[in-house]
Amino acid sequence: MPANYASIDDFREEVQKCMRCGFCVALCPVQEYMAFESNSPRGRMQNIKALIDKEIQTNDYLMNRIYNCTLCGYCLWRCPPGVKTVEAIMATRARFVENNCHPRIHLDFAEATKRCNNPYGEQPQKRFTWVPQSLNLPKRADILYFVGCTSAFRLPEVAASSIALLSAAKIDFTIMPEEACCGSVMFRTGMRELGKETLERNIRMIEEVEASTIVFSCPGCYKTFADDYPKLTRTSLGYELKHVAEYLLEIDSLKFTKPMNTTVTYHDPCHLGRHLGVFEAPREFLNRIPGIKLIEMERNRNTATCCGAGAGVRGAFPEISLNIAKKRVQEALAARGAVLSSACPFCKRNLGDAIRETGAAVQMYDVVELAADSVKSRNIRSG
Amino acid sequence: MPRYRQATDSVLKELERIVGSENVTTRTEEVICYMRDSSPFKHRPDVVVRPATTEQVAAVLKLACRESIPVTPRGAGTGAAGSALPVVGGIILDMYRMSRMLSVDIDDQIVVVEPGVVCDTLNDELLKYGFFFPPDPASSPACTIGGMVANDSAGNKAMKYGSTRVFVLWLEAVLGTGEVISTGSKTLKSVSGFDLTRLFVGSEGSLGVFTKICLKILPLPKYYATGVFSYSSVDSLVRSAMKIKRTGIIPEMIEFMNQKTMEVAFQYAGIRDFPRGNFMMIDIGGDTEGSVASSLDKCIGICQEEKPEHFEKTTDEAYREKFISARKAALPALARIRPTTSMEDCTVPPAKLPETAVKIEEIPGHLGVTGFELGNFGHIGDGNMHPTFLYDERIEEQSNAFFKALDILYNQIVLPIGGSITAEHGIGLIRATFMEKEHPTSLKWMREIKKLFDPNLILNPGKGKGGPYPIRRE
Repeated sequence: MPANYASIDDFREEVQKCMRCGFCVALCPVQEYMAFESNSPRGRMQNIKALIDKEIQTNDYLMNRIYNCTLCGYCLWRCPPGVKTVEAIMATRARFVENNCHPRIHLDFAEATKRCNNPYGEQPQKRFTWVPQSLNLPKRADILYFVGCTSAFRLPEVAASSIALLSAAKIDFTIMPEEACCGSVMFRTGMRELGKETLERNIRMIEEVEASTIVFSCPGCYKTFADDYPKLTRTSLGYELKHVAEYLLEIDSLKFTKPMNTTVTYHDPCHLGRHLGVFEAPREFLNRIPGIKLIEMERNRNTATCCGAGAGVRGAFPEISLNIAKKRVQEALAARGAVLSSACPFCKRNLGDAIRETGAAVQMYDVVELAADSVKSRNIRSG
Repeated sequence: MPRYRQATDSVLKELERIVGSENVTTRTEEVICYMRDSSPFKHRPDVVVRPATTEQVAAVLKLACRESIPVTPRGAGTGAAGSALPVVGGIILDMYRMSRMLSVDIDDQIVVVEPGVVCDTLNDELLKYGFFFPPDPASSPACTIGGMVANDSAGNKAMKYGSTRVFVLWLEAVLGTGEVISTGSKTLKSVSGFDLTRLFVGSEGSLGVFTKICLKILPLPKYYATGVFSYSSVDSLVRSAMKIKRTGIIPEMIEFMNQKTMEVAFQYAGIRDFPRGNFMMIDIGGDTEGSVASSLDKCIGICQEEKPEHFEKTTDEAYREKFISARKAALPALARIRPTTSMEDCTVPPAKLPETAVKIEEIPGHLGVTGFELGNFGHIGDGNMHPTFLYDERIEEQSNAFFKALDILYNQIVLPIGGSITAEHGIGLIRATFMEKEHPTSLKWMREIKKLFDPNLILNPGKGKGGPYPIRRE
């Protein structure tokens, strides 16, 4: 596919629009834990402007400020002039990569992806070891479940639950045995060429599945297909794209039987919520589960606090990442939910770490896990 | 003439000793972030320092006084007048670390805070008690209490409650010598001594640096009723507002946005179905549902005499919040239109508002410069408007037009009818040249007062209050 990368210089007029009102500063999840203003969205825009105007050059100090942002998009949503902060930062990261100035661990992710098709460096043949052997998935199906690297290698319970639900709903679905990283991490960290390569590879395989719809349990993958691909190619993919919860809610053929009898507070993943505008479907999906009482955290939907994991921050700045997650866990505790639920494996992983670290009295589950537990018959489709 | 020095290596080391090396920076990537506020000006500090205690602020100022290094205190940097910009470099005192709420005392009806507390954060806390700090600038999601006190910020609700100065009871401040003083009393009434507290409020960092602030708080109204209107002409809108004032009803706010402003602000707030025009919002607050409803109905009846194109009334909190959010975003939303957005802050006797509003709308036409546009909005309940010029600062003709527009606005429209060059944003840099004209007999006394508190003139030099002084740096 022909690439249509926005260069940092394309954002000259965009950052000029920033009139430094500071609306983005007060609740930026990163700024709260950092010192000087360069760690805030407003500070980043001023530095990006200076980079464009060649008043400064890329360097390690600035690299840390450009890369410690989780790209949560709160500033984008909050910005009255509508400065495209997230895209400007992504384009700036690409400039840093061109100048070979980026967090070392992101290079590790890239090399692992080249080698193993996933940023974790796991052996590709282990990608689907969690899939029950009895499951006999077809080569072609109407629905493709794109599993994603984090669910496949780090949180297989999320992927297994998704498969259990699709099976229970009697959906004609499959997965791709050769599935590769969607490219999200590469796009977020400025390594766009590699992101494009791995995304293209998936797209070629998807064509062979002949699916009409692709469903995701990872909002990072979902955003890559729904948002990065069209921006990159100026064309849309031509598939219906949905989060698993969104899709299952729409087809409405799941029978929830086991009451869960618990209070759940839902954490909006940034990629699913602010970036793709999917706020209500996961909540409605949770509300279908008998015995679940859904309560909201004070900051929800567009104002939700980030989990701290996104855009390579968990890998490159683990302390910042964990601090942000701890704050979100505190917000969940204040809401008095027994369960903190999200619809993103990254969020589950990071918030789960914060819960373990702080000993917080709340359990962390993905929405698909809660749903799968409530589906009486968890018959995995067998051949 | 003050002679300022640069911070030498030994001064930087001493600053690091005072606040910790992690809280002192001269790096370009940081300094760039402190060169601007929401005004069109740009001034580079030599060093940014982040104190955490009164003692640290005092030590920094003592050092700066000894070394003749200018010091510019900065809250959230949301000001629109250039008040927090370091005209002659020196030290930027970033007060962000001093952001603790020290006490909330409902029986005494006061709170004590550090200057870095954000306005909305304070009100979120007070909401738990059913109380609030009424001054409500549009920048409330970001601006700090210290900045509000320094500017005497007011905002939407000033026509009913007054500006920040009404609520500041007591201050702890560090003078330009490093001496720590406290002014006023943490009581609701006190007349002992000169009112230094009020002198410091609105001093724009030129008399001292606030380190603790005691504020009066009020119980929140229990009910609100809101009317929103769209008018085809600005003057009929303003006449409606004046007629409401004559009834004796004092709304929480009477706010205005001209059509250009309304369109972008509504776009930001996601208000799609409201007919476009010149927008007015009347918000009535009170303790009974019936009284706010009947006051609003009375206001609506009066407004209908001026034939608005459309009006709605609501008591729905979420719907009301949408309009408040749009109004608060008016200025930054205007930045969608042109690359540079410069907000002004004039106030006139409310009775003169209709003619003033019309004259302001005519300014771009007088200048006749392509690409130079006007947004306008403000607090018409108390005669305060924010004409906002939209242009491209990188194009010389447009940049020159901006300064000509300022001259028309203040010298030809506002001052001749007994208005003032600023209601709530301060003099800063942008209005410094008009001070002499508004205060021909008292400006010299302001300068004398400044010398008492800041004998070496290190505090925020080059600004309108107590200045501008001829500035020279070695």
